[in-house]
Amino acid sequence: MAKFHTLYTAIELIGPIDSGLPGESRGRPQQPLTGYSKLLGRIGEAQIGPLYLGTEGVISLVCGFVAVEIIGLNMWASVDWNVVNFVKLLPFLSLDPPPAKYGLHLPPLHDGGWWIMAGFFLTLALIFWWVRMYRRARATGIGVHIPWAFASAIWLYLCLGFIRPILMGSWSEAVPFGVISHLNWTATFSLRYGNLFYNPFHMLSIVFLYGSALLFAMHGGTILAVARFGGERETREIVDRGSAAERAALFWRWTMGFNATFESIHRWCWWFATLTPLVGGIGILLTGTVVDNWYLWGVKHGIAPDYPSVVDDRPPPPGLFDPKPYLPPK
Amino acid sequence: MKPSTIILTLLGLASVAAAGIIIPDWHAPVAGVQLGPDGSSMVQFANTSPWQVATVATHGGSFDAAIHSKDPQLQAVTRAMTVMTQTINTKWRSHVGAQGVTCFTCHRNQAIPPETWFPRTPKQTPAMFARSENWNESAQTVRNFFPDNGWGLYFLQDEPIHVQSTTALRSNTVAPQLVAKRVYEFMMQMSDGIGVNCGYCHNSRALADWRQSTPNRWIGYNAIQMTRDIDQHFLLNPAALQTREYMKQNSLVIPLDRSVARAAPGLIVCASCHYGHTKPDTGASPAPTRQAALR
Repeated sequence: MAKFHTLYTAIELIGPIDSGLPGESRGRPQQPLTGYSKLLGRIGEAQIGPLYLGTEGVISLVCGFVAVEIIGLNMWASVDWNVVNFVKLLPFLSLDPPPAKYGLHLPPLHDGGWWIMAGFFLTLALIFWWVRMYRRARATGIGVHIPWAFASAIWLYLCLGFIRPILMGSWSEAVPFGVISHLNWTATFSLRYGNLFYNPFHMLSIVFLYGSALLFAMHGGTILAVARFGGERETREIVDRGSAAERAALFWRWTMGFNATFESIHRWCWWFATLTPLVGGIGILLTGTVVDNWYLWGVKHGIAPDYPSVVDDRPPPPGLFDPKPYLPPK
Repeated sequence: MKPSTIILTLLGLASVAAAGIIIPDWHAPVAGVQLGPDGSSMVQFANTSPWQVATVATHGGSFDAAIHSKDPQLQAVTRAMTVMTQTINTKWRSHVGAQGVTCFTCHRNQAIPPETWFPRTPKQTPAMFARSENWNESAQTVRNFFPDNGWGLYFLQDEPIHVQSTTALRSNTVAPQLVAKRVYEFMMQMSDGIGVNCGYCHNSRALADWRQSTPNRWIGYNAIQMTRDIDQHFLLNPAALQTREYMKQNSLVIPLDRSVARAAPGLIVCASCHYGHTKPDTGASPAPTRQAALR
């Protein structure tokens, strides 16, 4: 069977469908829909399918569909079933978690109950999708790096919407479903807890997030740059170092004195990407449970300087800044 | 079509769309008789007692005629508005300073000041479904689109504005998410109304800390107290409610722009005087009247 010889080839392979590993794989494709797409061939493999759906896939899609339906219908009801307004206002529409007064109890449907249902089905959908990824990784005989990286994202999702609300004793602490509303939630969350930027785990998460983008650009750039020397066969060059690997390594040693190897760069990328939500989740779990004001925490631990007043020593006006304890609901 | 042409066209379309969405259109006429966005309905409205009095006052015309009028409602409104202006200029010098305010500061030659806040009634949602934020779907601008729940909470009640904890570790003093959202809405109307960002008053890294705030925050603090005073003691008082009743009985048309359900009479917010400027009328002192604006 013909193979790609370089990244720069414009040839699209159209021929008998490559159906995978018959007899060798521990799970056969159930869904025989296959074909070729010339357009997709420009940016990837021209062959479409076979898609493995499986039991977990079906459960995941059904649960995801139920979650989206609950969210969408509630949003639609909130504009009084007006189709034009639904489309026009979609970014602003939201399905909010129950108010604080319900704590962790089950609220009525119209007061957060739908949010709990949507969250339940969305979580099921994500977990079954994860199981599907894990089992497909095993079936193809490859490692399970991809499902574990995905698990890290699910961990952050669970921290925000499940674990932290339980630790705080109220579902009202969770994130609403909605485009603008979840962004507003994020801004408000940081404001409530005295500026999340002073949370060291938030700092780490940002380092890994921006680092991921940087590493991705560096690695993608390197491989494209050495493709003319066969560098796109990068995994082969891990064990059989050729001109491409040598030149790429030399480039980075010249420009920054150090180079990752053709193997280790992939570990760099994987860990940076995986650690982004992993440490972010830890930062979320500490907020409100242990630390109430990250700025003051930063001052206490020498991260942020405590400047003297720029105005004068007038005390704050009475009444306006008058902290009343907000006790968690019983 | 060249790729560059396509990109330029898309950029052009995007900027037109962005301009339509983002640029606020303050109804701030500074000279001449303005019909405003509501056209002739406003003229008809303004020529009908008792709203005549406001027009009379903003035109600097026969104010005495209005106050000596036989119409008790006309008298009541005129008197209430006069006392309100005097109160602002004497009791609230901590906010308005030497500049002070005149009828023109809010009214801008219109019977209903263009930036009047008419609180919205809660949105009706089918009983079974989740209640949503009180967006104003018929709003002409993004500013009017956002919920005004926070405005009611902090202008019509003396609720302390409190979000952050004063202790690093847990002390149960952090405001709930919903409260923080209301404060956010309230603060956004403030920054939007005077055309500034958070940093005009606050240090954004420690928003609650008075010691790191700019002196403007004290002026803003007095502004909140002043607006509470005016809204609660002048605009929510029986005379104002009586005026609204009069309007209803005489089937006076309320301009479309403000046709969102009204739970209270017209109230003031920061934009009512400021029209998007840190100082109304760019700080002209004393505050201009209509004659001054026409000059």
